[in-house]
Amino acid sequence: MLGNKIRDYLRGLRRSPAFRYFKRDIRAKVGFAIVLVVVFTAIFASFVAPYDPIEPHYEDRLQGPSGKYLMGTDWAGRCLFSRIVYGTRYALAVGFLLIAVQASIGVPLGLLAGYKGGRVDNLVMRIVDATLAMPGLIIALAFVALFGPGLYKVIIALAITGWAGYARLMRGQTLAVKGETYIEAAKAIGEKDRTIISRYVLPNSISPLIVLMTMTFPAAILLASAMSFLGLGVMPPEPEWGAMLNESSRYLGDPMPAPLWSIFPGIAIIVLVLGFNFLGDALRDAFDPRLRE
Amino acid sequence: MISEVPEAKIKEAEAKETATPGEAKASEEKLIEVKDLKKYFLTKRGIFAREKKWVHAVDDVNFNIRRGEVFGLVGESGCGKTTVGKLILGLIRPTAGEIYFDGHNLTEYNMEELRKLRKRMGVIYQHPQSSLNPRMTVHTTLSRPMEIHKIAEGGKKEETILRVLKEVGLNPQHLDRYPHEFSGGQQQRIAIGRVLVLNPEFVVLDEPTSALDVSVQAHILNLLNELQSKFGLTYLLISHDLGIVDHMSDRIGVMYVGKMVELADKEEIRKNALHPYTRLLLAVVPIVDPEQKRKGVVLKGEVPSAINPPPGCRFHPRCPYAKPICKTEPKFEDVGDGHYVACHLWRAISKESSR
Amino acid sequence: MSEPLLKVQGLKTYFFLERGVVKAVDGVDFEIKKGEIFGVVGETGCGKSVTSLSILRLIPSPPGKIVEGEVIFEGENLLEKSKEEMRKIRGNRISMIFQDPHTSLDPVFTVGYQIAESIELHQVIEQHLISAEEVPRKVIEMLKLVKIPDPEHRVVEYPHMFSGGMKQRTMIAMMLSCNPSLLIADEPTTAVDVTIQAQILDLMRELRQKLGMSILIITHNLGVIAEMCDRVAVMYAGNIVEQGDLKTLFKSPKHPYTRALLEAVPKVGTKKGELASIPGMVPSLITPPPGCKFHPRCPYAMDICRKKFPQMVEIGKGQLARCFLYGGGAKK
Repeated sequence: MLGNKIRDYLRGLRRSPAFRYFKRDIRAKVGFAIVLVVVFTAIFASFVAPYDPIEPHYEDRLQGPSGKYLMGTDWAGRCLFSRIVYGTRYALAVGFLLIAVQASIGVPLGLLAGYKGGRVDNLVMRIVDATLAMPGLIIALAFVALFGPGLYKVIIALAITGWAGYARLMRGQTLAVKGETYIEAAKAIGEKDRTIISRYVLPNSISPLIVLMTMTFPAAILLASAMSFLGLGVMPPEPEWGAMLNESSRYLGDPMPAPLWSIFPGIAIIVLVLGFNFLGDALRDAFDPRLRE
Repeated sequence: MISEVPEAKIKEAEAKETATPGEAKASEEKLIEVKDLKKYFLTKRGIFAREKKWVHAVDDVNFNIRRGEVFGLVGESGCGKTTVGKLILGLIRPTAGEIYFDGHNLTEYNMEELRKLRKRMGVIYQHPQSSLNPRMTVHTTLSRPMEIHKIAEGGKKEETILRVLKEVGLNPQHLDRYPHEFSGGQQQRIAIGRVLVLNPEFVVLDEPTSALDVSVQAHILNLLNELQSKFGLTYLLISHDLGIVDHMSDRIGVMYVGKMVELADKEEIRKNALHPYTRLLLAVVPIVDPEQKRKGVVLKGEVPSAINPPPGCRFHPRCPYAKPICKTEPKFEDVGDGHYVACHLWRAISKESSR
Repeated sequence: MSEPLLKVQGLKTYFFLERGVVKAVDGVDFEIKKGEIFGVVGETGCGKSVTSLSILRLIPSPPGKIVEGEVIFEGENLLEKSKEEMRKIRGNRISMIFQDPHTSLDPVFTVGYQIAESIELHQVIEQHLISAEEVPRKVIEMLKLVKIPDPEHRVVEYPHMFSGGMKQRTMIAMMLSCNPSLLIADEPTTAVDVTIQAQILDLMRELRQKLGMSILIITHNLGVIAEMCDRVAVMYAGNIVEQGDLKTLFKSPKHPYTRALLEAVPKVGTKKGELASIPGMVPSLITPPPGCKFHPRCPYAMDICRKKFPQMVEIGKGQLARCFLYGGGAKK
């Protein structure tokens, strides 16, 4: 049953004008390629990385790129390339988990506010407004200061404020969809409210949601890396790119210069963020009805 | 020239008016009865303003729809005809008045009970593309009504779907497709199919062909006619197009700014329309015949707003026959043979047209 | 024989899309005389709107292109004019009003301002026909011309205070302020109520009388055509299939499509369920059927219709039909 539904959905997707537009967009191809490579690397990190990322080789510390170590080594002689490779896991995990948590809170609240309207809408939106006014990074830092650093704590800390964007989007979408004739037609055939939300409103609000997710992914990565860079997120020796930037920042000049060490994690972050940005842009344009003839 | 209406006549009219229109032919079963129906909407700003602005979308409307007939409701934008349709379907609640469906007083039912009554009614909308869920296949769209009301399952459900597809002129290959893959005419057929799967008794057709091309319109109207005779359906046809209403309906009700101003059999409206607004509508509809030029009608003014309307006949500012009495509310009175008019001056107008 | 005001010859406008070339207008010829009301009627996708936009060269140019043809207006070929020259013609010698009055007016400027802007652009700045001081008077004159009540007070109001019918009349006022020789009206009354439609059509006829201008009306509404036009062209899938004077076309339509169209409209006396409907669907404009584009749906289709594309045949004075039933075969 479910398999059939998925097959139908995919087939409908393939025939949709959005998909045809998307296929032709160079940004889509580039973005998709980058994301695919990163995901692949994350899954098969143990096969791609030549060394264990945490294992130190004190005799080879602070080396530049060479045949032995593709990107060189850090202060403890750990292979930078391997650390970058394993770092993809942290980057993707933070992104996916954070978005999952934010969406699980924000989407249902937004749907509720939009569909019910009235007092419920008012209440939820005032909370959303207040949350959006809060500086996300600073609150996250405060949270970490209170409860200590670490990957999961970082995610919780960022989710405290991050859900509001999803709520606002879903509410807007729900309001837009609510006014469509097919919603009234559904009521006219006797659909219950909760079915209308799940089978009529939600499926038709997915497009902007997907775009939002793809666009907030890079923000999530940047925020998490920022926190790690400040020493309040993932801590070394974990191979997280932000943490690597932190460590390497002390070695930019005298007395022990190793500038390339900081460049590689920086490039990795940039590439992944760009990839998702391209993908998000392409998706957003593909879904925009005005760009189609 | 008409003097004040004699008192005896007024009393007579009042006595007739308390009987619901259509009751004269009581042998015909009334499927729908609408009594003193009112629906007012509050304009948004009105919540905080000192003087609340109410839109009088539907204001004291009374009529019946008989089982098996096509009742045409005609009027221009803002006259309230679409609102009347939604009120009868129970999709919105009246501000005042009563609606009876096969004897059930809908105004006393709660949302849950109304939901159950829905399987006896159907509705077709003006824009077929927006009336279908873009994320549901034709198959799902046709299945949902049966699943909701637990009417049929499995084999029997599939049978019904295939049968209905055939009735509306579509193929089984269409079942897997999505609405955007079809033309406007086909989409409207899908919408008609969605109505048919429940085998309803009553269907509201809200401008069913206004968004379709002329040739497609003909298809759909023919189809609707065929289905009506085949399944003994009762239609409420709402349209601004007098041509279509005239073609399809048995009886016609004319609405203007929330009020019903005239109600009569189709032939009566054609030959003996009494209300000045009805006569205006008949005069301005462009006729597809270059030899019949429109009678030069002097048209004044604009359609008034339905917000806090002034007392009296709503058409009088634009009416060529207007007299001082028109500033008082006319009664919706029976002028014989099921013909009702809301106009103080109908007798004079009637004399004029028979000259 | 005086020269026609507008002469369109062999007009072809194509849209170059990824999925193919849409031949929206595929060889259209017609003429409009001075002071005449000419109607173009057809269903969705027949190319009537694209034809009018092509005349004014308002076709969006990345996908669309006028690939062939001539549009001779007052003796000059509009397709050869520069962008600057076309700008001077639009709104000045040829004006156009559109279907939806609600979105055609700018909501942040008063009605008077918008009409004045139109006047200033063409009459003051470019042609020095009237001085800047005279503009307010001219604005009120235009509002009176289109029968807007109480124009002196209405001039300072914003579009949202106007009803749909009044907005459409304001559009007409703006478009006529420079006394154009040709007014193109694309579905001018489709979005308004029937009583307002009657007012606007009456107004247009009166203006034709007073100002001697020609009107090109584009619509799918046969009733409007019957009421307004002197001559009519019926379009189908990018071509004109029949053309002629109003009475003859309605009384004895020659092309099967015209006949079917006239019979599909419910008239007094048509029995229920017997509206003539045309089987099949409008053809693709990217890959139209071979031969006559209407043949798959035509009850009179002959063998030749499937193979060759019919030319226009003259049947009687000024009456033309593109159909093999009347000849129309090109010599082999």
